[in-house]
Amino acid sequence: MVFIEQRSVLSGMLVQEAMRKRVILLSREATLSDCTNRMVKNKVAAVLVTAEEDRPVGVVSKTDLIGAFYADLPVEAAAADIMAAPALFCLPDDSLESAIDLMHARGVHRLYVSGAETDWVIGTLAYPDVVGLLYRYCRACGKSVSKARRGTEDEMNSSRLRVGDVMTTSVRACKTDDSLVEVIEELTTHRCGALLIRDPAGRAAGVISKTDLVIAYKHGKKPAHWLRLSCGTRF
Amino acid sequence: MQLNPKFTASREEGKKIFGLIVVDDADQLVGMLSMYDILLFVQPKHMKIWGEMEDLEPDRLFDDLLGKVKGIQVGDIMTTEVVTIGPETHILSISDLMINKHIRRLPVSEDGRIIGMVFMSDVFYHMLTQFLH
Repeated sequence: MVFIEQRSVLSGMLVQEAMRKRVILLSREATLSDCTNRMVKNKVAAVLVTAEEDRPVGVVSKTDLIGAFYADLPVEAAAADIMAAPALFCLPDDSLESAIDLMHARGVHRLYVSGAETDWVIGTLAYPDVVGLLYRYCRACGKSVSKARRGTEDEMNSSRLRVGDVMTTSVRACKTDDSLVEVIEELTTHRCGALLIRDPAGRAAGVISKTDLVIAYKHGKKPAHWLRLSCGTRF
Repeated sequence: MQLNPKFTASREEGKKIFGLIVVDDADQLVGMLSMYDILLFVQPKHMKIWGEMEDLEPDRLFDDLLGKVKGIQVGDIMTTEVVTIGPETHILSISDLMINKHIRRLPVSEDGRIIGMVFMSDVFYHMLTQFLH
């Protein structure tokens, strides 16, 4: 039997090339409010919950916080009550492809990178980190847009992938007079990170993201609140 | 949650303010907000890669980032794990805390209330004065 190995741009790349070394930790006694604080301040979608000596015990993501918001848990509840455990790990010299396969198989958006000891966290790998690495790699490539500008227009247009080729065409949307409950249900059902908000005339009025929802939660809003009172509109 | 104007973390009140103590309704310390916290929040997450993007309009990016600040409250980005010292804490313990935890200012608390601040420069000039004598 002949195996044909499929190679992509990522083949041969390692986790350590894309991972970020800054890991946002939170002690397990911390509250959901503290959790939101760390996420907003550091612009991360999840924090690693740790016990004594920074030993990792679980992960709280924005999705988990939104679940707590939906269930009307107080923001003073302990992060450890809603965390997903255990945290999933990869090694710095694992291939990026295997790490992405693991993320995909387990339905998570990030892995933590462990050092020589299993409890020693040296970094984190999320999809945007891989995109960042790809951007650098593709820019340095002979076929990149910046290099093609010096070439001919035909050369540029022939094989270039356009936004329209990769975008998702089924855009999920809510209305400005929906409640946050409906927004959370829509986001959770379709596993998306943000929703388009339409005004009564059906025009695009803004976008609501998971970050907007966790901030609304921390600011004491209730899930039954009307959307238009809870979040500003922005693109 | 409110900023306590009595104990700004600046060197001198009314002049340049580098940080503020945050207290709750019961006047209890709940955090500190420094320039660093605000800059960290405004900074794009993948700054190195943003910096490499030649097509990006930096002014527009900056405006977008500043726009995000509007809906943010002090409690969203303040530092909540605040190290405090007591009025009796020895100066060597204070300098040890400042060195090992990279803290430039430490609130002084007594019976759960903030009664003052010690700055890195206070410790330095105190040691210098002692040395010169």
